[in-house]
Amino acid sequence: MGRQIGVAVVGYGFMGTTHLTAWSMVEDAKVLAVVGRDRIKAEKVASRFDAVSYSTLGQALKELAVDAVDICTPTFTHRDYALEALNAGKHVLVEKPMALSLREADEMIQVADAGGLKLMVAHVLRFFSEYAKVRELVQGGAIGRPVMVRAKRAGSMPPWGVQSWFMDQSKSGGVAVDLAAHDVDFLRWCLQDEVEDVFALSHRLVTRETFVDDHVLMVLRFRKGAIAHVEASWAMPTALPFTTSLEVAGSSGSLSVDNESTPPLTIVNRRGVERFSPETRPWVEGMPFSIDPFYGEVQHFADCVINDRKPITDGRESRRSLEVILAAAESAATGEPITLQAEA
Amino acid sequence: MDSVGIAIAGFAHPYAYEYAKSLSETSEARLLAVWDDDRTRGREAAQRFRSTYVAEYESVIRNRDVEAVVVSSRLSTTVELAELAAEAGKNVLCEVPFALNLEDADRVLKAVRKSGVRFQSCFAARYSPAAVMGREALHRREIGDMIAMTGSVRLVAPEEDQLEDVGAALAGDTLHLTDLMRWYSGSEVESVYAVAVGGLDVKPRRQPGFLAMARFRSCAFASIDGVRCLPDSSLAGERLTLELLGTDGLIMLDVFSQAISVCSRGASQGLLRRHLWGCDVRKEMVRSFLACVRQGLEPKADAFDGRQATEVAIAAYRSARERRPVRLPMNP
Repeated sequence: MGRQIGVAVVGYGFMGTTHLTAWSMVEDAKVLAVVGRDRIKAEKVASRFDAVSYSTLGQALKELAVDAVDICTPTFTHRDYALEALNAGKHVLVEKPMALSLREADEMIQVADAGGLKLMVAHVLRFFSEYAKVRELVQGGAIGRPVMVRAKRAGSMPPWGVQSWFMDQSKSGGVAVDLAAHDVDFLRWCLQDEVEDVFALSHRLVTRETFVDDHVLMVLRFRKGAIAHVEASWAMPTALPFTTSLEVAGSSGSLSVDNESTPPLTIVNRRGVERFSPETRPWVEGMPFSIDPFYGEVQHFADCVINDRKPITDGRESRRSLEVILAAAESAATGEPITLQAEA
Repeated sequence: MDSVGIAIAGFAHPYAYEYAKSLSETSEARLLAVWDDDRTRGREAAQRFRSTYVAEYESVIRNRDVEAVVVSSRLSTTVELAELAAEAGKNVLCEVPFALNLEDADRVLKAVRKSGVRFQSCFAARYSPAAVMGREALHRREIGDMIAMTGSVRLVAPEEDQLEDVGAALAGDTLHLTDLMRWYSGSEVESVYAVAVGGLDVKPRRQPGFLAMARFRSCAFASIDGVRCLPDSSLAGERLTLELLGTDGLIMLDVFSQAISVCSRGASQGLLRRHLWGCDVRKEMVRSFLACVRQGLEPKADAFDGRQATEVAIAAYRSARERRPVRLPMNP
């Protein structure tokens, strides 16, 4: 392997800076550009990571030796940025959910295929140590045949989400599409099974200009017989720390993991309760980062680009997860269960 | 005030032993008779709780000293036993579900209303002090308007022979959650969608229950997880949790949280067992029943509550079979 791959990161928000931090730890890659509409903000972030700021992706691709584009922008812009990058012959890593419709996803997959380019969707949960461990245990037969799953991901609306595109169902897809995307994708991977049908109930938050589903409960029925309850919420009170939990019960045992009882460090002060897991997020400079999920994710993508490997969550794989969450959102809107098409 | 003369009809349900223990330990009750269609089990129970085994149920309910009957028998006999007790003017403390179809549930309801006896459905969670406090907080509007409820329940499974009888009864666990949600929201279920583990083709005895999604008339929605999926639920202990999300906050109830986990060297590997040290909700429920009988009060959960939760379970069963949401009330 020769030189480092050149990366352009589009977006400088929460996910953008998280990915930039992760990229900075990847030896085989160098972030060359940070792209964002607000040039001043983009410049501020770019300077932290020794990169150049651009207000358009096209300009960055024209001026720099970019091999891959990492799209960390709001969901409704994913398709356009991805197509722009792919059409310019660049590999693409795009935040989850990959798009807001299957048609958009298909366009992205088609263009990537035509150009022989890597398209990976950042389903980062697959790189979280505890979730990967659960999959390893389940697939290793530790609990027998998986029967019943409960997965939960709940918090208040993230601070960057209030008064933003998150609050607009047409831009974020709502909590089923944006947040439940994590657990739905993970469960397909963990159970090595596809969803047969989905039923969901949700709460709709209506604001002056727009609306968004901010709390969803869904039940998935998998083809091999397991069922899963998935809860995703942005409607929790702000005093409650972001909560995740996962339980899998099987024919001969059960397992569970959550982020409340596992952090090795909890700090409670006037700001509230903060739970830290330095082992899984390198919050402190100099801490070991080997199992940081975001590092694992971008490192995997870099490896796929450099060594011509298939990303674990490539376009096709991620499209299946997208199909389920879009069906969940549809079920919540119509009140009817949605049956998914079997793979051809 | 005199203590209440009690008879226990049936020890098929595992909780019958807990009821008997509570009754034998309080001065507010006298356990006068034990009946069971399984004579051996009945005799053993009578001896254990220092009572008298009576072979004929008829003589139990004819006994003038018996003021109340605890019905915790095999599910296929519950309706008849409860109905006969009510008709004979006996107050009834009845295990849930007491019927597997609405016709039977309504029969019991009718007999109870006609005779005017006290009939208490065994929804023990209502007697948890934490559940009571949580409900009061909800009614004080501490979390604003209710948006959604997420509940999960794992109780002790009835004996296998009881499971043989049934389909819907396996939703016995979900019944407790449904009741708690009705009690909290003050609202009835409008529609339900449910899935069953492994489909409904498996033998009834292996049917481990439901995961149901319910919409309430109050607009709140809920998921009711009563899947008995643990290989041996006694290892992990009972669980009943309910999260209520409101427009201004969250209430988290965990009825059986107060337990000590004990690891020990078991038959194969290390075993984990939970020993409850918190409030004994079934003891509180029995105590409350005795108070209702002695003071002529209305039970917290009556026959109607039992019927309503049963209807949700029946609708869930139908939904899982037909793979579509089912609206309530159901057509007979």
